[in-house]
Amino acid sequence: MKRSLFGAALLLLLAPLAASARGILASPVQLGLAAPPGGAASDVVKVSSSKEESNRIRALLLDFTKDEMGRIQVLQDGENPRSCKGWLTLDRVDFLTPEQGSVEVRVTAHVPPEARGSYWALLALEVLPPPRSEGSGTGVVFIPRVAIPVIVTASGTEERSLQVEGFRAAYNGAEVVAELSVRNTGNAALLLQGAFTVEKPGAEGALPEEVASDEPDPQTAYPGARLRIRGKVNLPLPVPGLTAHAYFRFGPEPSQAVEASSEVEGLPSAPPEGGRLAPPAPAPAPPSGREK
Amino acid sequence: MNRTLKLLALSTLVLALPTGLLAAGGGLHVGASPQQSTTTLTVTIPGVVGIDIETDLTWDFSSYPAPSPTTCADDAFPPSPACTSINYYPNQETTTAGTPGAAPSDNAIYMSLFCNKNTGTIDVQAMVGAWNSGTPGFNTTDFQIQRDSANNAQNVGPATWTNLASALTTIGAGNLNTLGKFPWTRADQLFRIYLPSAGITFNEGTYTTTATFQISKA
Repeated sequence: MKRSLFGAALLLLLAPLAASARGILASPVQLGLAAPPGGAASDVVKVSSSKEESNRIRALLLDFTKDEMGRIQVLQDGENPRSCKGWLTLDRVDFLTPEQGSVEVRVTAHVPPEARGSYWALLALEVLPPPRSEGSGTGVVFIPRVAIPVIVTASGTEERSLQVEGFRAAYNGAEVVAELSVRNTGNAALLLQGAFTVEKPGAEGALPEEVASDEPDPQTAYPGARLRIRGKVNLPLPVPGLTAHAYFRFGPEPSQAVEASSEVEGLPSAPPEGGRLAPPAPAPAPPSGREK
Repeated sequence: MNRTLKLLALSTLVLALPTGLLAAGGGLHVGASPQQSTTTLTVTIPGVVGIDIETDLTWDFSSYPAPSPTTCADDAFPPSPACTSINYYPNQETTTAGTPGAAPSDNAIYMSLFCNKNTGTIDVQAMVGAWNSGTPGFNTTDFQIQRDSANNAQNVGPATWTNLASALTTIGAGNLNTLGKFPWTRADQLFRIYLPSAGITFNEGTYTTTATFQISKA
């Protein structure tokens, strides 16, 4: 039977159920587990609703990598050579969060005897929509999801090594934007904690003096991967000759730190006058040929 | 602070993290008056991220008006034969009653993001799934989003209309700097269906797909 467009118009419906709020909170934002090869370790992730409502949550384990800006890229099975997805078990994968309080999801890692260094997988916690009732059409069902990296380290086998690949700092008129590029050349995930500072030269024979600093959030460097750490150092009174420094530590030993320094690009060529930047020098007037 | 001292300070900080858990307070103090006793007040702030979506959207094609046969307009069904591209905006938006803050704009979903630290760098990704069954004649990747100019102070989401991908793709990243008391920040997204070509067969029925919005700490 040939159907009319009008008939189609009546039946082509992309419609949702009644509005159903969906929100999720999870803590911590990253889970680290350590056990010797052949051993096991576990910890919990707390999951709650974003407001007083009960939500149905599904927990998934996925493979992932991170790009150099720290963004997660979900991978297909087998694409991450250092995946620990197969080592992980969850004590619950489909559950309800209460209207108040939280639910703990226990993540347990069974580390194989041959494991060396760190391995990782992604714990994805997503809010499931309510069941679709018969005869009601749903256009787009929104699924809020929180992604939590789980890093498992075979303790006693870690090789911690970090290499600086570049450092650049530039003044943008209000702040110094600093970027440190590092590569984790070991086999263990490293938590990098540190600061960017801007220093001015000291007086004759004196040490440089720090004028401003910024401490970015700790970031994780994955084995074999490059990581760019960015910071913004507020600099209301720029002066020529400033240098920027990056100091980042990945362990308590003196050798477990990196530092880099660079001149700050884009600074004004003249120091500020009376606390204000000197106006730029006027451009030379073009030759007019009528000057006397 | 010079470089050596800075590295030393950072070293102390790293060491202080686990040993801080050993702090103890209180205790019995005996001796001449006056006596003082102290207590240790410990505050622990966990790292938390969260996401909340409070709006559902409807595309009810039976509610779109039929256009003149010679004009090509958005939100008109059935489309004129002359149309080579057309947009369908949702014709029903339902946001949960009692949701805090301003109501979302027309065609937008209420989305809010949380990070415990308002300078924390977060990564927001989005994807669209397959149709639950059958097909209405166009693809789920014909859904487009654009960040709303209202209720999205951190500019999370694409600046121009962008098709949702079938795999998670970053749509916004940055700091969750907010003016609020707690670092929830709105990141509302506009939605539409963009049908780029003529010759689409519209299959009658009702169809479902999922749009996933993922947050993580970068």
